[in-house]
Amino acid sequence: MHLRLAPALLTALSFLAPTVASAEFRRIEITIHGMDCATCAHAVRVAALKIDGVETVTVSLQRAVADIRMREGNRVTIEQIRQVVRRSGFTPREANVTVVGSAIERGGAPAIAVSGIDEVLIVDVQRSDASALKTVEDARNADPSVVSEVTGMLKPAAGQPGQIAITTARVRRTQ
Amino acid sequence: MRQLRRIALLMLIVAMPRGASASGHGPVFGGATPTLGRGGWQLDQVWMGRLGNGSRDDEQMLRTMISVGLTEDIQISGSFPIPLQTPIYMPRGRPMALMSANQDAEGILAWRFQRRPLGPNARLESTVYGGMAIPLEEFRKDGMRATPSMYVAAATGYVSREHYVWVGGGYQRSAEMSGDRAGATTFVSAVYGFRPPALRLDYPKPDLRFFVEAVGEHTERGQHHGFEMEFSGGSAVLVGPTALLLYKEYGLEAGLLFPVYQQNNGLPNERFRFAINFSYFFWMR
Repeated sequence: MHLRLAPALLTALSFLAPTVASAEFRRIEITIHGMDCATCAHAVRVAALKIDGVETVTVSLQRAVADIRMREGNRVTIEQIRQVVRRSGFTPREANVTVVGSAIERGGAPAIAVSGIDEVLIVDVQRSDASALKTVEDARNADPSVVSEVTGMLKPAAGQPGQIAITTARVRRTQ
Repeated sequence: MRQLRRIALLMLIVAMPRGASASGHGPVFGGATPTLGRGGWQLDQVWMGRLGNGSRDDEQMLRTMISVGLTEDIQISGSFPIPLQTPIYMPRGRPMALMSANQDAEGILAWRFQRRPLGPNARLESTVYGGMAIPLEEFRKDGMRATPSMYVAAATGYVSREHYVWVGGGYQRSAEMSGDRAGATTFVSAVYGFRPPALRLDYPKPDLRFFVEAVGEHTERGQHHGFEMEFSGGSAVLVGPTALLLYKEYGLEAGLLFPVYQQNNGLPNERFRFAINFSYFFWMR
């Protein structure tokens, strides 16, 4: 089902505008390994709150996760968040992210460009759910600058060094 | 404003005539591996002591330590003593892995050279320490000239939400001046920590854990005017319970060590050691 829809998504995205007016992370829920104590969690929280654009940080030791919410118009990068975790002495792992932006086509793959911060998130169409595909298909016939919200798991993009894939993504239009 | 509050708190803690005590977010007495994150600061105020058979043999000291994380694995610490009670004839030793009992200013560099996460809340890590102590007095109370000393130590261990295990060892050696030299101290330590299920609360709730610590130390005989001092040095093995409470940027730990073996070359025996440590963490980056 997903495989059949994937080419359709690629086609759809190729019609979308190649540039994005505004796209940004709204939420990064990053898994942290090696964190054992309250002061460790507090250190991560304090450091993340010092990043310009970060609004709230909630750290859970039980779930080994830092849930970071960003302000509208922020320019926070996933690397900044990973660096905060590393500098606190722990190991950053996968992250669930919510990105607001418009889909573009990049190198033959659907992507979300996060403007101004040189990060491109590749949407893994083969693992995206059907509703996401339907939404993007709809987007082709709508305003190409429509803003979509993409939520999914961040992983290194296979075969595309330096880029990050959003797998098992859900996409919904927010405007 | 926040900066002013930190400075005020720091001054208050340093100025406290007696109070809390000193060694971070690990055990109280034994060697451990955690270092601060990059740009993390820690202020410790410890009240530590060794109690002998009479008040003349008791030793009590306040020691203030400030530490900063230069990177996530390299930390530098400096500590300064405020002696409260200094015995004449108690054997020398090193009551806390990161703090000397002498009236010395001490600087220690820690390098966590190995760190491996073992899942969400666990890791294996190893840290080495190297430091120097500079005496703040010309002569010790027993008449021996106070001389600078160097300190090296290492610890390795396992850290998790449930269990902590550390083993470590260290060595402190004094320089010789005018034929005087304090005996070198060698110590080994083993620590087991446990956080009971009911206390595995999520941040930002308080975090309490308990340790059993064991320390073995041997101090060589000292040298006075070029002659070995018969009544000096000694060996001891001590075991005891300690606890650590962390809440946001504050830490409080306390513990006791009781000798299960001691051979003090004719010097008075220790009844127990104690330490209470207050920590305040802050971040500048």
